[in-house]
Amino acid sequence: MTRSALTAGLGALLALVTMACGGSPTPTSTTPPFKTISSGTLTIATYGSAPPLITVGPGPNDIGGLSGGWAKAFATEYGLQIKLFQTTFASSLLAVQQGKADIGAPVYYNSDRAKTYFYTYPVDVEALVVFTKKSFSYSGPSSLKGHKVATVTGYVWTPYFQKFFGSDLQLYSAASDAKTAFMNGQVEAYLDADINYFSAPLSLSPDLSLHTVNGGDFGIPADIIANQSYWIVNCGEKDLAAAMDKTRDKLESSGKWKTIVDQDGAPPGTPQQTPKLTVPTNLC
Amino acid sequence: MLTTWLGILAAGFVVTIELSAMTLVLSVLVAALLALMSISPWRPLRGIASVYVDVFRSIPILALAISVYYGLGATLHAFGITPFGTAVAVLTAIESAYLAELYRGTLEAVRRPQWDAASSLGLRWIQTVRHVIVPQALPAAIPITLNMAIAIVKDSSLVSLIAVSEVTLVANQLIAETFQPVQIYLLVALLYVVLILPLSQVSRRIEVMVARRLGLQQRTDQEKALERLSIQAEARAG
Repeated sequence: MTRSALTAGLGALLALVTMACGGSPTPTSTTPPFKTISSGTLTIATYGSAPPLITVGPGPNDIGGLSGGWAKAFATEYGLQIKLFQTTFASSLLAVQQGKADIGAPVYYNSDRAKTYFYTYPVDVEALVVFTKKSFSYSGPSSLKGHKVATVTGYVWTPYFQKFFGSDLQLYSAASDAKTAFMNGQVEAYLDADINYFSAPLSLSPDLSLHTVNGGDFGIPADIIANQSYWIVNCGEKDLAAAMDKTRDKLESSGKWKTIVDQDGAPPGTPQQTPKLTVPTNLC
Repeated sequence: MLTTWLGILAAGFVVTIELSAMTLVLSVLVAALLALMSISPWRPLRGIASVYVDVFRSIPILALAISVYYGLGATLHAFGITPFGTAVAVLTAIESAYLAELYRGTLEAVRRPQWDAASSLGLRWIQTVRHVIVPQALPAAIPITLNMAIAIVKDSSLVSLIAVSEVTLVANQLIAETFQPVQIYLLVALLYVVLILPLSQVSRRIEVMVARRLGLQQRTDQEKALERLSIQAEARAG
């Protein structure tokens, strides 16, 4: 055996050992066409679970839901380990802006955010609704005046609610806290996206009513009542957003996205899982 | 832009001041009672005070606030207790435990002969406390109370997690809209400094004023140095 053949053999053996010991995921691409904060790791800022859009846990880096399916496929494609940066909704936005996370769990589009982040393709479609108990006589936004209502800090609708409700609006750092307060009866209504209807604790409540919101209600323009949720990427990492979109295209064309939707999406027939795959206007 | 932000933050800061003021007043009352219980001659009272202080000093404010507000949510609602009321109760429970220990220290710092002298005059325990001990402990208790007020103002930011619209919660919402965390948090820090610096000044002035009213002279540095020397000399001689 020549020295070069021996060297090649040892090299191949070393490569095999490295692959065997390196754990998953196995890289399927050579060099990613984008940078991440930490080489070989995709850091995702999350704000808790909001099924079917996203689920977090039980492990510290476990992510699921529609967003999780997409992120895991992306990480596998580029040989990245997923690391979650678990925080509140408002702080997840800052984590991406300040480079603490590569991508932020899906949020809605608005022009202010578009100056700070690149948006990927949408993950799902959601619409603002009002959750009340069946015993509450809801006849429109004005029927909530004078009652305590809850929503979450940082939502695109929150500034409108603040103007409409004033001191009757109770702001919570996390949707889970706001839902708990609502279920406890500490507030009369909970204002959030319709997808919350599909997850506990709201999905478990038999005496819950869901009321649609129309354009102009609460002073909210029609174009942000129904929204699509998009992954957000720091303005300096446009290539990362583009690569995520490519992964999504592949998932669609291979039929794997349908599997993810069947497994983790909203119940069949609901409009949540049918967004049009276009990137909104980025103003970075 | 800055003016608009300040206006929005000021509304939250008013809530911070209201929350801190109510917590301070209640904490002083509860702490004074606990401190008196802890130096009382009755063992059950001392025991109750000791358990209260030990328990509430061991629980983090955030943990207590979240567990009370979300854990007892339905009950709180049934009694009409708002997030603000819950925050005042939680902060009072914990801050009064710390303050009670500080007050106990000031009461116990009054020298033993004062108790003996009062006793020889036929004063009962409650009369001794009221006419002899508390007046002497008061000047020392005032700066302690105002220091606690500063701690309460800062601790009040923790209750933003139970939907009290104090300045931190308002700032977080503003940051989510503007993406300017550095500027906004600096403004919040400035508001805190504007409130807390005068508190420190007031603390010193009130201490001097109360000492004068009670006929207690503020000792000069020279007098304090002389006293130290005299104690050292006594120790050597002993």
